[in-house]
Amino acid sequence: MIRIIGAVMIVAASAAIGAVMNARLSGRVKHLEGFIAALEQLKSDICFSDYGMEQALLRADGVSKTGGVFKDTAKNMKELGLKSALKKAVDDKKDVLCLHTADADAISALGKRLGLTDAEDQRKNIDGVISVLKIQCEEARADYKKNGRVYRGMGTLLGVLAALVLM
Amino acid sequence: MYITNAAAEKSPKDVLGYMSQSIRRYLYNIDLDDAYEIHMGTDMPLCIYFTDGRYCVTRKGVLTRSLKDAVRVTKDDILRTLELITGASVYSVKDEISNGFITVAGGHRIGITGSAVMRGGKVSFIKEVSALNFRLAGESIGAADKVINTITDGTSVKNTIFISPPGAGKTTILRDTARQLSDRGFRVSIVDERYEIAAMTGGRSAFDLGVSCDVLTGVNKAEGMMMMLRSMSPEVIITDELGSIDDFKAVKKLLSCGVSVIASAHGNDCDALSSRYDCGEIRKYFDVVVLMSKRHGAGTIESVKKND
Repeated sequence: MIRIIGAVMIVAASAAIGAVMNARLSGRVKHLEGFIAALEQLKSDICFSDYGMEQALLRADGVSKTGGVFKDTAKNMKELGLKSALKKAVDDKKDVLCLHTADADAISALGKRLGLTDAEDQRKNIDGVISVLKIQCEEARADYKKNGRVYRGMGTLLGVLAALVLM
Repeated sequence: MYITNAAAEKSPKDVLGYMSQSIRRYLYNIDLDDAYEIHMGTDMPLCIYFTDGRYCVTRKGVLTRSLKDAVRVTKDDILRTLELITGASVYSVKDEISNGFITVAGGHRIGITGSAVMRGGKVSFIKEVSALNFRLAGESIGAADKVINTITDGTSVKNTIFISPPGAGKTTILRDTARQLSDRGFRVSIVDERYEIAAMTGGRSAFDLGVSCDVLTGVNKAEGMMMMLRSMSPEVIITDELGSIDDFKAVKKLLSCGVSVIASAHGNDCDALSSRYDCGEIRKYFDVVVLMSKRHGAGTIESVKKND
């Protein structure tokens, strides 16, 4: 009886690990899409609606799921400066948002010129980051398509194998 | 020279909030009450201009005449300060930047230099900002005491122009003139193109402008004066820094409408101003010409000439 309970626990744990890995892949896609949508909003507010940066960031935060990165940036920008505030917010939320280092770097790179130049340059700056994020997002989608099911299936399968070996 | 209005509880140190932390820390212990400018240039010493001349700030946060010991301003300091001044929204103050300055809360004017971007023959933006110059605004109750009785006899107001080089206190004396005339019952309208006279924030002035004073900000002077004439029935219109032939034309038009004008202009004397703008004898427009200088500090009145 104990063996059976142990085997079930092993299979369940292994399947859960697989599911978490799958969720991280889909989470990365979802959040990258969220950042792209938020940056489109930010660009529009800066270039066409002339919103101040703090308000533009708060509006961008409300558009899609970005884990409050823009909200945190708006909160800390006076104290830390926009560039550092954005980097800190991205670094703090990187793991929660399932982002890779390259994704986080691309978003942080936005802070180098954000708010410090005219609207035309802001548009170019944000468009540049959006382009990079779109490539990253395509890669994330392919990764999810390729490995998502594998992780789920492999998790359960490896659990069953481990249970059988141990039994 | 002036008596600062302590009741207003405004301080030149308010501008420190717009400076990068790495610069601000050197200025906390420096008394800025008599300072009128703080200059920050990339790779240049951090300088403060007082009525008795230029001082540099050392790493110990004290003033020195020596350039050798001075704190050097970095490009990052300039960028961070620009970020704080504009709320990280340089794009939203493009028009102000194209004029070469931004006015912040309290009426302090921050001059900007860098590489000008030209479009259609006009400056559309300044990029690669290299220096910032903080001109500190101060409210000086009584600044106009020496001239107010020349400007008004209590029943009418004479057309008056204050002429001086930059930094001699023209805006300060205009502000106090507005307050005194307003408190004496005249309907005063201020056309404040550069937000300097009234320093309006959220619909309120940072300064005491008396009880019957209306303010129109951000509008071109010539247009703004005509708008005020049509909308507010003013007895006196006050504006700063007449600087174009259109401004003088607007003044001429106002005078023909029976409104008194009190204004200021950059220059050393009236003749130089007349020749510069090719607008005839300035003296014909104005009953009183007040020449000012910095000889004994900002607000020094050199002469008051009346046209009889």
